[in-house]
Amino acid sequence: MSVETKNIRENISLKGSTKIVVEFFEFALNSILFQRAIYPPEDFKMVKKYGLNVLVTIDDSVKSYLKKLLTQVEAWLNAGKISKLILAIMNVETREILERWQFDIQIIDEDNKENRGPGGGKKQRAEQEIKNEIQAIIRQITASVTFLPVLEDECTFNILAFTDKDAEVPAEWDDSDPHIIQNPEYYYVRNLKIVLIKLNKQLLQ
Amino acid sequence: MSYPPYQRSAKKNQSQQSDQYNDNPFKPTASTSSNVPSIFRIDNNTKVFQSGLGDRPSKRSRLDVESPIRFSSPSITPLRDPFNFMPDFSSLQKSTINFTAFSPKNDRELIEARTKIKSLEISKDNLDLKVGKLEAENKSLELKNRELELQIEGLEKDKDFYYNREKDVLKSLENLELENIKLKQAAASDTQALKDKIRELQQNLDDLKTENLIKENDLTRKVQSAELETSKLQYQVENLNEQIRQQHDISASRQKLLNETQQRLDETQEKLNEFNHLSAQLDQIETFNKKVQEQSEHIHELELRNRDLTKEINRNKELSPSIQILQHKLERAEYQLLNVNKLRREAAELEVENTTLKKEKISWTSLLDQEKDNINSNTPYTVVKELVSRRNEIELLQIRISSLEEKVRSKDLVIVDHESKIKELKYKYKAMENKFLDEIEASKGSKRLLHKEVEMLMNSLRSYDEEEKHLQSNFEPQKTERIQNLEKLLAEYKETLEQFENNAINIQQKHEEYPEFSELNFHSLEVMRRNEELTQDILKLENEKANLQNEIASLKNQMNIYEQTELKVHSSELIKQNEVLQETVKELRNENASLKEKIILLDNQIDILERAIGRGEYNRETTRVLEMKDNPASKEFSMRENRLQGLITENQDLKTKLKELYQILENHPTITLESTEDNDSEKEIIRVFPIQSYLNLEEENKQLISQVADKEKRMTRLKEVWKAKAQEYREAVYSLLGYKVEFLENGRVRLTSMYSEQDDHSLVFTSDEDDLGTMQLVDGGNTEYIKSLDNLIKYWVVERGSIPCFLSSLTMDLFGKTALGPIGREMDMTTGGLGGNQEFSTLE
Repeated sequence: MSVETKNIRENISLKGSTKIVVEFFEFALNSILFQRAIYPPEDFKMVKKYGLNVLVTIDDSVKSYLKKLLTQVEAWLNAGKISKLILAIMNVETREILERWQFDIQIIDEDNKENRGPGGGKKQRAEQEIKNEIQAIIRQITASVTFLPVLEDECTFNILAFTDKDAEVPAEWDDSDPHIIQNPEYYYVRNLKIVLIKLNKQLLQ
Repeated sequence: MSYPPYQRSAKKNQSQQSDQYNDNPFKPTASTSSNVPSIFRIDNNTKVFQSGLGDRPSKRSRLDVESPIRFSSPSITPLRDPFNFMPDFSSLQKSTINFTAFSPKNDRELIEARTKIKSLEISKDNLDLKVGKLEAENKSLELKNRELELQIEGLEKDKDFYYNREKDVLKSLENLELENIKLKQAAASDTQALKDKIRELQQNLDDLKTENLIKENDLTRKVQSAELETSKLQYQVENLNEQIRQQHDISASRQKLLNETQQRLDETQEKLNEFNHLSAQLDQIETFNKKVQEQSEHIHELELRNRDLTKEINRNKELSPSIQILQHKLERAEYQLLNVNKLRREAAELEVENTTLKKEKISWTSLLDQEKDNINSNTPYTVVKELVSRRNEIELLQIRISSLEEKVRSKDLVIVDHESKIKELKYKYKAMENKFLDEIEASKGSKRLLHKEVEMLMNSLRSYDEEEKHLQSNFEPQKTERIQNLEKLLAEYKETLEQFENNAINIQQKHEEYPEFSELNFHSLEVMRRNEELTQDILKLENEKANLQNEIASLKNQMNIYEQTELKVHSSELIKQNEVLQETVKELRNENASLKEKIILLDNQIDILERAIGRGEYNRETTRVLEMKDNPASKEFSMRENRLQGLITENQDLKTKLKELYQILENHPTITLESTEDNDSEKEIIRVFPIQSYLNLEEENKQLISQVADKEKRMTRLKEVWKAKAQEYREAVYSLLGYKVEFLENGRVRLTSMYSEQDDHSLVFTSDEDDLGTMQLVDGGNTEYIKSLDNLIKYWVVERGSIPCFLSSLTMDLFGKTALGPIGREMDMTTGGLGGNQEFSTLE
């Protein structure tokens, strides 16, 4: 068990401004949806981004959902009120949470100031670094498919945002269950399952 | 297939018939065709007449088959026939001839012969008569025969007629048989086709059955899952009902409050009314209005509170699943508390140990302070170091002692030798002593002098010592004086010694007088000297030994002292310290182990916490989990819930229907199931299926329609993509190769150059089966254009077999003719233009 946890526990860090982070979220979420086969491959089109061929959905409903979601996430990011973004994949039949892709967000203002403060050259270089980092993360997401179990049943997804208590919440949003993968009866088995499935993605802004 | 043998048999019958005609045994007897067939005909005619009524060819043929048997029957009975009598008659004639040739030898015989002749004549007469009768009969028979012949002719005509008819019929039969065969073939093919169809249908049926089975299984599974879900949902519903009840209670209490407030409001309203009645008192009304406002505000507040409370209840409901988590956490916390208690106990123990150690340390430090002067240090390290150095010293001293002891032993051995010698010599000496006692007594006087001298010297030494003590500063001059005195004394001493020597010489001389004695004396003197030397040596050695022993003793004492004071006490303390230190080391090790365990525990805790974080646990006080109301999962689930709801209602309706049916059955026990089906089915079946099932099906239909719409959308999307791609491809070809490609029907392709002068200047190609592009000159109504290209076609396509070269050269050619041409031509004069010229030159 411990070996598996070691293998799977990953921390992915990223530095960058809000816009870059939101863009990253868009492509990361899209590629998870594609890689985990939540929607058929015909629903995706190839887009060149971060020096990679990234697949983006063309399904209007999913597109509009992601757009709405990400605009709100950007607002929260700007306000510094968001701590986590979670993509939960669940079985349609049983509603069991099968996977939970967690993006931890740490907002550090000082870093930002430093990045913005001195000369533009540094910023450009930082952007290139960010691009490389994002490329690595997308690659990691793609690679994760190799060791994750195949989702045999029909699945759907939901995206949760962990915000501060005092964050402004628009009417479209509502409180939600945290979608924890847990079943008290088979706690340890589930735990193992979680460990197998879980990916901890940490984002540093 | 069954026809040919039939045909054959028919033919055979014919041939048989003919053979039978040939093989007729009556043929030689009756050579005329009229006689023989007459029987046959009679026989046949009867049959023909019999079968004439049927007039069917098949029966006729069958009759023919049977005919040989009928022919044989007359042959068995030939005598009955009048024509068979004729041969007998001929044989009779032959016998008469034989009679004439016979010549008689005897009379008796002659007489007998005559009698015989007579009788024979009589018989001949009779016979003649008979012949005449027979001739008459024959005539009549001939008449009859003629009549019969006439009849036969008529019958033969009939026969011919019938024969022809038979032939016609046979032909028609053959035709019919052919038709029959055809029909049979058709029927066979039809049956084959039908059999195939049946097979296909059976296969379809099997497939459908399997599909049906699969579907049934799926449906049963679905039903099972649905039932499970319903049970789950019922459970949930029960829970929710309970919650609702609770909420009802709360709401009832709220309602009471509300009622109370309502009552108050009513009261106030009443009061207000009263006050309204008392409109004169305006101030009071105002105050009441204020009160009313307050009340309304109060009500508002209550309502707000109510809302907040309902929100809280909702939140609590949401939080209810987390109670288990909290319980889990509580358990974990209790476990941690237990751990903490353990740690506290350990800490207390450690503190006790610490105090004991501190005490020990204090005692140690005090001891070290006491021993500071001796040890020059208070640290255990230096103490130990000194101990070690001292031990080394002791060891060195012991080594020295051992060496010295060895020396002493060797010396002892020498001493023992010497002592033995001394003993021997003592015996001699005693003997000699007695002899020399007198001499010694004589020398005693001088000895006394010497003693005096010695005393003097001793006194001087004492004085010297005293002086030394008293006069340390004036040491040297007095010392020199003293030395001088001593030298003087030495001189005196020498003198006395000389005197003694002289005395000794005298004695020697006396001994010489007695040679033996003198010798002995001399020897004894030597022995004496040696003895004295030895005694001196012994004394010296003894002194040394004593000194050494003293030293050893002192050292041993010192050692004892050290050991007693320092080593015994200190080393024991050191050992104790060491033990204590070892204990502390052990304790530290234990502590280390416990700390490691703690680390492991903490690691486990960290692991658990990390897993919890991984699972998505969070601080509910500071963070809030949010989702979009309109998310894909909720959409999916709402759809499913709707479906489930529909199914549940359908299920319930069906259950009620079933119950009703059971009730009907119970009420009418005499009615069997079948009868009920017969009686009530028509009514019940209509009611058995509830409206919900129809609605569900409608819902499903909608879903399917949406699915179809999705698929169509996808199809159109794909088509659009394909179209766009095809257009792109064509554009690419147009821009790269300079030809507009149009795909016509029958796999034909039309190419139009981008430099063509007119739109109808195009080339049409068709692809071969071998994929060799053969060019067909079917242009858009401009044959002249093709004719103008004849040279190029001949050169490139016919001779070289290269369409691409033709097309490119055509492009070059056309480009030259366009408005851009001259520029292009000028530019390509060296390269492309020359090539073009070359091509044309070769063409020409």
